[in-house]
Amino acid sequence: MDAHAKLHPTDQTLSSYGMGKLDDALAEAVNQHLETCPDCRRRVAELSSDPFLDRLRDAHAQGRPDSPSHLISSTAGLSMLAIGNPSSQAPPPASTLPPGLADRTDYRVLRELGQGGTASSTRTCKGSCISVGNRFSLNSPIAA
Amino acid sequence: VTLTSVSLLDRLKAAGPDASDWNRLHAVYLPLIERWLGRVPGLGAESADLAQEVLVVVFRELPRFERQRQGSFRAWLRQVTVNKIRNYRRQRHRRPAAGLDPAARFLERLADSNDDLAREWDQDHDKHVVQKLLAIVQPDFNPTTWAAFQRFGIEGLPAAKVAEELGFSINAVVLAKSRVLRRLREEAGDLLE
Repeated sequence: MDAHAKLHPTDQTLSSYGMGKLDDALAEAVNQHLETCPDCRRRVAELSSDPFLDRLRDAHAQGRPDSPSHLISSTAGLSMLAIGNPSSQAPPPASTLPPGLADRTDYRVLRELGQGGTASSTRTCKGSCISVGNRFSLNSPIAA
Repeated sequence: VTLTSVSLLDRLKAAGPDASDWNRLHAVYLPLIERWLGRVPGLGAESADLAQEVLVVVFRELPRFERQRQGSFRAWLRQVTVNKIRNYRRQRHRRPAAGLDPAARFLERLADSNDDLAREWDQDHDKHVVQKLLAIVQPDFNPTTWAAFQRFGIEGLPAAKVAEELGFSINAVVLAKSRVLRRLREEAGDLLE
């Protein structure tokens, strides 16, 4: 066994540490080692393959507001980011749709644009999207 | 390598699960299921009660759920939801007198993993669960630890850059990511895996 293998955590251990998979005792031991080992700090920072983290990132990116300012590391900004407001982009309940719209199967209601929706609020709708009465945004997944 | 404690689904599947774990699952999933039931043509005001009934089925059937592949819980939940609505409609003979049945078509598409509507469920599920998880876990960490996790873990910025930005050591940034990720995994990581 060479000196490196004796003195440093394995890549598997470092990877598990980076992914938050180690128990308290081992995580603390790795952490203490990292305090004095720049090589392992670099390695653990580079070992980033983690399907769970990828999902977090993907889902987080989907729910991200247009403005990048919410990513500023203030407590208030992070609270807003964490809690978010998914309902603002969610499709409205069928019960709130006007007659004739709720039962359409050839179009899908994407979201409510709001009363008196404006051109700017419909710009995010691409492809086969339409707006109905300036209030609802729809697209046609069957045709897509 | 010694790994961390069991996940939420595993805790719920074990004998005598903690009521707080059920409450957690309920709190995470009720809004999502309600939102989707609200989209089923013709359900209207019944959707709120049905959402509760879907969760009753989830609680009852979860011990028999076996994770077989990535994303299998969300797919299983989608199927439980579809089945519950179909049963409900069947019991009430909810069929249009003639012509197309928009609700049946909606459920057919939702049940088909290859349909855009099912994919939309999957995306909406992940986004919703992530938002809930982050909101649940964030109060357990101080703002700077959370910021380090956000910048390094979620946004993928280099650890050195985040360390400089926050006045941390690189090690503290790496540790922050590890600690928050561990907490997220314990809380409900398998809902996303």
